[in-house]
Amino acid sequence: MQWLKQLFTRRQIYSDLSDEIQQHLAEKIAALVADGMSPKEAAYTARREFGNVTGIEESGREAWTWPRAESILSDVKFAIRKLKKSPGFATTAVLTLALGIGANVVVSSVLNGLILRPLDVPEPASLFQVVHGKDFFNTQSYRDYLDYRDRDPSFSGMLAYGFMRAGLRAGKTAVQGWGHAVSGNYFDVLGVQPAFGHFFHAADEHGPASAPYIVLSYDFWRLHFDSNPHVLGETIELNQHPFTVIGVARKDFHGTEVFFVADYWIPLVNESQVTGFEDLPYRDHYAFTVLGRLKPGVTPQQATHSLNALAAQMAKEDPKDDGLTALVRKPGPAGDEQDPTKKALLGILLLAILVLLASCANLASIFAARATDRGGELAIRLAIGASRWMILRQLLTEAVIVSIVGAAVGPSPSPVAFCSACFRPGKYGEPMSCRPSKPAASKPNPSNALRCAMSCWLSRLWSVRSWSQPRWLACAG
Amino acid sequence: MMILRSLRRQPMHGYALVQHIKQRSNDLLQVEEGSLYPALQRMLRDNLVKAEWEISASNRKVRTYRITPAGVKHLEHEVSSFEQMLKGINLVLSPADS
Repeated sequence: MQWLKQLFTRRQIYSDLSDEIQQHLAEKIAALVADGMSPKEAAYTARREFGNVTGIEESGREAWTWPRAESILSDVKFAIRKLKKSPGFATTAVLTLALGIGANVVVSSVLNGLILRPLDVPEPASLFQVVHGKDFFNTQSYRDYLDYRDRDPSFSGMLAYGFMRAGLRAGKTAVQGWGHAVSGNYFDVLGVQPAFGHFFHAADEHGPASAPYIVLSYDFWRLHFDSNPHVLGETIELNQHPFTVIGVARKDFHGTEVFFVADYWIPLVNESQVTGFEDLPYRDHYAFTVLGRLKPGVTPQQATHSLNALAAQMAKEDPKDDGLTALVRKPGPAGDEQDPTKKALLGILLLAILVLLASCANLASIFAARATDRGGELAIRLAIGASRWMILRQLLTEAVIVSIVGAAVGPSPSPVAFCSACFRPGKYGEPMSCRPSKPAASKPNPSNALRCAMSCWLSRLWSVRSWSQPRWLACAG
Repeated sequence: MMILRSLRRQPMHGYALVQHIKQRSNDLLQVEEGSLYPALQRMLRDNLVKAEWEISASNRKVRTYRITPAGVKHLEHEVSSFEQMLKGINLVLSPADS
């Protein structure tokens, strides 16, 4: 804490030093006068023997300063003053940079939210999707799912779910809701916990229409049940079939889809009761997404081999499975090489990077033009003793400040762009979303902005470096 | 080292320090008066000396420096190093046996 004390007592220290030097000179003059010198001559001699008072005071003060930090601080202050004096230049530079950074932040945030970020479930790394191997068809039939789940040893648990729409009525309220019909082990395999109440389990299923239970999503419960904590045990009608509310999912759990936010979950065995479609008995009715948790030590490749061996066996047992193959891959667009969203996003990211590069090149030109305009000022600074490194540092400080402001301004409109791009109803009114549960998906990522700002700053470094050839020296000379 | 050694003998203010070093060295050492103060500031910063405003015998307000325990330790270390160096120089400068 010594440095902190020094920081606050510095003014007193400087004052003491100055007073002390004056006392020294006074004492010296008195001594010289006492030796017979005239006061004027004594004063002159004392000063001559003492040396440059201002210079000595400055040397004394240096003991209490951090020269490097303070010179950087003075560079920053000077740079801010210079930018304030040229508002047109500063605004142009910041907006140029903000445009490039903003575009990149939006695209990379969407990319992160949709593709890079794993599902919002515990241990997402061990969760894989089982798709068809040959045609990359993403869904499976319920009968195939049962065989995969019960006969393949690679997975510690395997779940299936389908999409459904139903009219929900609770009391006098009636709404249209989108949800999932899920296998009984859905929540157990995912390892999620309810906000309150409980989830249904595999043991609750005892054949068709045997488990009339419903779990509500947190947002659906808040919106349509006014966050009523006594909702448990209430009966909700789904297409006029009664279901008992047994739990409410946590706020951050919206299912395992990237673009779909489920309002509710019901057991798969009760799906046909609500929708009227008989999906479960048919091997060639591919209506369900299948996810499984790989056992520790089992790789997706090993699981794929194992499932394919099983699929061949299943094809022998039932001709409808003839040609059936399986592939184990990451769920969602992350694992789907053919996913159009992923392809489009990567293309847009490439464009955004090009925009950023163009912004950087533009910015470098603007800075170089400005530095040329300041040739006179820089020449004077060189002439009165500034080193080339000091000049370079000053210019780079300005670039850093512009980069920081650009990085701060750039991402600011991006949440609006992001939200307007991602939160809209789907073709059939389904709640489309980009998994807004985590801030990382719905807000711009500051590290992206920082990376972009760094790249622009580096381009500036390049422009200064290429410009900083001895032209100033020629001016100074 | 000379400053610390002088202050170990007795607390002094800046001007007195200069006079003391001149006298003790029989005017062989001409201390640059101005250079004394930056050195004293560094010693103050490193807590080797401490300073207080006092009234001198000639009724002047002067800033008197005193050596601290850390300063004493530093002085001993410096003197020891200097003696070693001097010994080495003497050995090098002494006439060779052969």
